[in-house]
Amino acid sequence: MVKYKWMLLIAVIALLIQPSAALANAPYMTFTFDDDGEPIWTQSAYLPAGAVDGFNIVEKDENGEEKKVPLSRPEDIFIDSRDQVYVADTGNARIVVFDQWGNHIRTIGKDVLGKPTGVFVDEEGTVYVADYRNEKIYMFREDGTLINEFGKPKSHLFGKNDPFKPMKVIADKRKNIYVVGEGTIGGLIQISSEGEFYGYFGGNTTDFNLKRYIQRLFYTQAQMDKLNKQLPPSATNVAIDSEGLVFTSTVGTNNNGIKKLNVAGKNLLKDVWSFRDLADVTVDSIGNIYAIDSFRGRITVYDQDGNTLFVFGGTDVGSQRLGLFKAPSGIAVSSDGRLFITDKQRNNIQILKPTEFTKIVHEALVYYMDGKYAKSEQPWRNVLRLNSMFDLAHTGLGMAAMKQGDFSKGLEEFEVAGNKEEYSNAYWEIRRVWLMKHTSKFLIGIVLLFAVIVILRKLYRRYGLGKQAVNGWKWFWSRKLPSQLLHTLRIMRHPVDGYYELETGGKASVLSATILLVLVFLVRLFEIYQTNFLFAGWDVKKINVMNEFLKIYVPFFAWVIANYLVSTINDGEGKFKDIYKGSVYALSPYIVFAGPVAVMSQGLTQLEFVIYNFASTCIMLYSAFLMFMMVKEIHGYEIGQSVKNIVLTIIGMLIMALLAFILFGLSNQVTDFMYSIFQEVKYRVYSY
Amino acid sequence: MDAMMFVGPFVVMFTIFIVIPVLVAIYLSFTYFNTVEAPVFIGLKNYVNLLTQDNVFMMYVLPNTFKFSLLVGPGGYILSFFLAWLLSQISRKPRSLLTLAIYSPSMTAAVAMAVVWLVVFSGDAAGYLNNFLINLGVINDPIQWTQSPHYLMYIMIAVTLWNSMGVGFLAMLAGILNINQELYEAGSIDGIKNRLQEVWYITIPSMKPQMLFGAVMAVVGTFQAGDIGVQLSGANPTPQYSGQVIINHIQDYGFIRYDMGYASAVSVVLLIIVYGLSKICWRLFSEKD
Repeated sequence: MVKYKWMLLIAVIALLIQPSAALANAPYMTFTFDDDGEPIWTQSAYLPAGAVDGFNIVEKDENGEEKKVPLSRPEDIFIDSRDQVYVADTGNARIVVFDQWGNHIRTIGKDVLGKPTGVFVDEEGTVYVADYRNEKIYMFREDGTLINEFGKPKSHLFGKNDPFKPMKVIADKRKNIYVVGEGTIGGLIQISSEGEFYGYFGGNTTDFNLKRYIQRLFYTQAQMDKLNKQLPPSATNVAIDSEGLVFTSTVGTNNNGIKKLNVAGKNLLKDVWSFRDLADVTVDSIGNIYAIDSFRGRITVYDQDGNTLFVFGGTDVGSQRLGLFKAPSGIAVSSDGRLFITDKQRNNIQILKPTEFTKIVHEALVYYMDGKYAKSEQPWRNVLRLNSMFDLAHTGLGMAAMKQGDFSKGLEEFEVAGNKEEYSNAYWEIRRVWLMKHTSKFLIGIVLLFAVIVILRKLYRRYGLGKQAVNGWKWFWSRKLPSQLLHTLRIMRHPVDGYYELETGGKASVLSATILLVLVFLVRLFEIYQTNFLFAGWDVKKINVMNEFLKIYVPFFAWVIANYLVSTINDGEGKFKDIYKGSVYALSPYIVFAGPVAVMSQGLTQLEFVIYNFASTCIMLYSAFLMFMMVKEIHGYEIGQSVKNIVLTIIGMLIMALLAFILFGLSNQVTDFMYSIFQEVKYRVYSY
Repeated sequence: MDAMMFVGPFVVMFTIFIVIPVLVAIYLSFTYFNTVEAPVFIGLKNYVNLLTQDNVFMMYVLPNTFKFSLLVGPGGYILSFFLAWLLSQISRKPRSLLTLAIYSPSMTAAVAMAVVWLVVFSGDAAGYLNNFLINLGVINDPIQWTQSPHYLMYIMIAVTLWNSMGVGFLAMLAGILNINQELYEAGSIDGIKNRLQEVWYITIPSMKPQMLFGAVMAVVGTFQAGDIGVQLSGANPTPQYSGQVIINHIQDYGFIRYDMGYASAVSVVLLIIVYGLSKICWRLFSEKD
């Protein structure tokens, strides 16, 4: 969703900028995503190379006169293994075949077809056509002779009243045919080459919906019938790769719009981000996936795991430029990587050719996806020469370095790429090497350290060794201010007594509390900059110190003030000073432990996430608990009263926030008003 | 001498069956011992390997053990105190019945538990949980609960919590029932208003020894309970090491690979961990405040 907003923003910016043709010969921006899922611009991945509209296609009409019949509302395109381009020319009820340079070769099915909306060609050159109007699947030989046709499957498994409205069709190596039917909710219709119905394949699902479930429990049948049915969306288009994996595109979803289905109909891609109105999906020889959005005219290129490589393209709002689309309906890719996109409204096929950059990326991907990381290193380097912001290239280089055993280099690359998982693995290896070197020393060292401590303690007790140092230490901590600072530990161990002493025994002063409060901020800064980036939920590069300062102190003082105000009404005993001190001291777990935890996180990998998570959660919970105890003890409340007081305090804080907001808004208005009057007067005075 | 006479049998038995095996295990942990040849002394190598070479231990076993024991130990402990306290509020007859019911799971072996729970978590559509969820419409096809790395850990935790009402629970119940009722009356005169305060100011302080016993039993029980993962999934190592805790690791090396020296080293580490945690429990609940 966030990505989507960004895309909109980018799109708007792109529209506003409207780069002049002299600067860029692509009428659109190309971007990719960085590790935070935010779009970054890259150089153009594909450039418009031309369009095919079929004006040179000559046909005889009824009177035997020859005339030119260009493409009309083409719905689908397919490129076979010999780079022949098959277009379902829906408006003219024919299949048109071009060579890869757009020269018309022949036409198929001129008098047979009614409204061909899908076309597919298998290895042997058999052409499959899905005809929407005739409700049939046709099979042609390459030269256009009809081999076979079949309509709605006769099997009683295929519902009697279910319509058979074929939109798209593919066939696998075993000659099984998969049909995308309009309104079929079960998935793709799987048919044998004889027209026998096998079943449904890889259907979409509706998600579990609690509201719907409760309705099912309580509604009568009549009421249920009134509700509009929750049906899973049917696929819009389908493609198949050389390994027999079936790809489907579905509209109406941002995160499972593209599916890669194995033989069992199981989806192999996880959480693929896509636009919401995919018209077509296709796959090239190295497994890259291409999808086109019919509404926004955007083309998305993914690698075989569904990671977004490039997003480009756009809608034509009347400029008639190449590379912009009105209603793109189909996409296909030729063996040399050029994209062919049919457009229903512009009635043509646009051809986009990959730039040098894209070619190198693809070259690297071939090796990378095969796990030949060492071989992919050079191409990735070339990619980085052209675009040093390309994350995947950094990941690739990191993988190559890992393969060669250069873990620290891998670590650097993964950090640049923001690839947390691989970074974690690289760090794991580095840590292991380090541990292997030092563990035995370490173990022996620990044992020795213990022994030394025990011996020293014995000596100190027996003979008073090092008495002066110990006494000095003790003397220092018994001074007023240090002892007050030390009270944090006391509060953590015995909250009830600790707060009692804080209130009465002079164990904490405003000065010591203020020092601690400053410390809170320093500890927070330390935590921000020292926490391992695997666990940090923030981006260090985007941290603004002033913001962090406000984030800590504004809520804190709001809490103290609101709590004081609420407690005066609710007969709490606490003085303002005591609430202030108590609140600061309640944060002692954070002050004492957050720093060490941040340092500890440096030594952990993602596998030990549990440990970091546990430690930081403990700090937070313990601070919250101490806050609660603070309210209870300082005001002399019971538990119920304390809860009430805290809830009221939070509400009070919210009201304060609202007031501050209103005040700020109004004062802004006032200053604006004053300023404009001042300007006005100045203007009048000077003009006379 | 008289005292020695009385204590003697226990000391002898304790030495033979506890002290000597522990010492032998500590010795073996410094050796390579494959149960066929004589142990070969190799110094600290087992420990170094454990910390550096043994990816499985560092990647899965330690984090899993940490997670498992964190949820099951304190969780089971709090749960057993809470149940004991609840039971102490009702009259005698139903209390005995319920106590027996709650206590009985902990007497069963892991195998028996696995049998019972596998009915619930069975991986086919007839398993209770799958059937229930399919009927709800939450899932469309049955989930292999005990074979799936995502769920095994949580199932282990649930099952272990269910049977963690063991000796510690009984001790706590006894402790609560033994508290002098006059204390509560005195407390209410002194201004105790509600049950929560009663528990906090009277019940818990008066049963510190039982609380300590329960805590130590919870720690030890937690580290011994890991076998349930193997029983549920029917394999050691568990699927993708998702339910592998230290105990399984020791069994894996000791009784599957017959690397007794290494297994001893792991068990010594376990001993140190358990001892340390017991020490912490002592600090928390012992009488010497």
